[in-house]
Amino acid sequence: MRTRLASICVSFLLLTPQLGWAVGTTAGTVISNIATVSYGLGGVAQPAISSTAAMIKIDEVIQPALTWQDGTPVIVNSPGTNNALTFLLANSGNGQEKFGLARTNGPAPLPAGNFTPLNGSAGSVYLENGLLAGFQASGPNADTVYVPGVNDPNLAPDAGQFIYVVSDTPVVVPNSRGDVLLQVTSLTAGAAGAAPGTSMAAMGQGGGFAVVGGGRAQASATGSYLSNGLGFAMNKTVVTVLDPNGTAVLMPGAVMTYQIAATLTGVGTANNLVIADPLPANITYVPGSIKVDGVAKTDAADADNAQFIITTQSVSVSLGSVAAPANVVITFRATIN
Amino acid sequence: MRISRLFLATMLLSMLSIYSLAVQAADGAIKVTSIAEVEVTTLGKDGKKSVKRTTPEKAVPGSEVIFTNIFENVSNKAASDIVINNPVPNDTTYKAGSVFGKDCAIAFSADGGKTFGAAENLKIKGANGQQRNALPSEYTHIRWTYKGQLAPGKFGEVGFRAVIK
Repeated sequence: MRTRLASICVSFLLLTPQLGWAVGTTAGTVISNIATVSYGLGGVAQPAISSTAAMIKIDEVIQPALTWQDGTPVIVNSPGTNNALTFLLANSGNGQEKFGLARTNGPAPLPAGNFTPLNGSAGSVYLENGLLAGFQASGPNADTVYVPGVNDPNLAPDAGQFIYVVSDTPVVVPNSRGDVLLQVTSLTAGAAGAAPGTSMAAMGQGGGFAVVGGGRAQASATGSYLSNGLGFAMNKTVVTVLDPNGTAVLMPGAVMTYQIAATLTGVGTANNLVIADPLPANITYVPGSIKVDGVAKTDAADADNAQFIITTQSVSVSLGSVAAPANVVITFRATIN
Repeated sequence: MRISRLFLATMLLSMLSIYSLAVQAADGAIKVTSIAEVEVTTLGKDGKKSVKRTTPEKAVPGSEVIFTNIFENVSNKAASDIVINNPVPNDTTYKAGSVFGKDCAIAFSADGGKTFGAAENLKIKGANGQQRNALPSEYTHIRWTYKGQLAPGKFGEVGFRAVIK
């Protein structure tokens, strides 16, 4: 029972959840301090002696960390089935700990325009089983359906577990967002939600205290889906005019350079995108003048992606499958009849 | 009869010496006890903070522990040339500047106890093979040399703080 005028009064430092940081000495480890003393009596050296050992058993900090891994919203078809959001749960504490998982579809407050994802028809939450990265609903590398109370993740210090929140998408407005909240709670009795520093005797790995970390022995993260939706716009302009007199007068014989700027917006992929521009009857296409993004193309229907179709008098560019967002600039020349 | 008494006395003597070996702290003229404590701040009813030392209850990575070695002269002769050598305990890091010990010359080692020196002079081989000053977090041992003699019945206290890794 000593009292000192010491200025330091912090009893412990709470680790902030950071994946990959050292979590500290494993709970249950005993720190032992022994000093050795040598001395003399009456000028005669005596055998050295050791102190009693001061021993401390290291207690366990409970500190789960959860992050949503996809980075950008996962694009889904509407309606759609079994699209996964990927989360990573890490044990940032220093003792083995078991965690329960729970999902909330469309957590409050629900932003205007958001849709509410549904639990996936194949299953609601899956645990990555380590055979093949990414979510597999079935097959030889199928991941494991999470069942609370049966296979709650049980993680050693610093260990991680990938978790898939799998959802179906109802019929929703294109380009709208749907969120799912995933919550992780320590399954040590009395820990989840308790004030940081709350300690439970003998509940820590190794028999010491279990101590609630700064995150209150729980963690949560929200993942987002985005429903498919594409937009397309074309802007056609005359870039240059060169008449036979060397000026820019629109007159018979003047050569015009046309530019079509095409833009694909939104999210998703446009399949078999073809941009075709039929020329009006009063102008004549200048052969060999098609350029796509500055690259010259042949008029014939050949391996390059542009052609001039004589029967329809059209400049036609085939872009195949294009993922939004994308843009392409097509130029060609035509003479005023 | 005599033989059996002698036998009994020998048995008792050997049992006593086993007992004294087990309680190694009481060997010889100096008794040394090492204790570990943490400081806990409590808010009193009057709103004033009071800092107490108690046995560690929430010893988690990052906790600061105060280790104190109390050495006492339990003999009837004065003890001299007292040197206390304390390896920094496992899974802890010595806290810079925290060493204490009245009437002692204090030295540190950063090479496992092979050489000792003052904090400012302690060198260690760096990653590039060159000598550089050792950081307090790299100290491996602390050594106190008690100046003068410790009279019978007197005791001294030395110690330091360490942070649990």
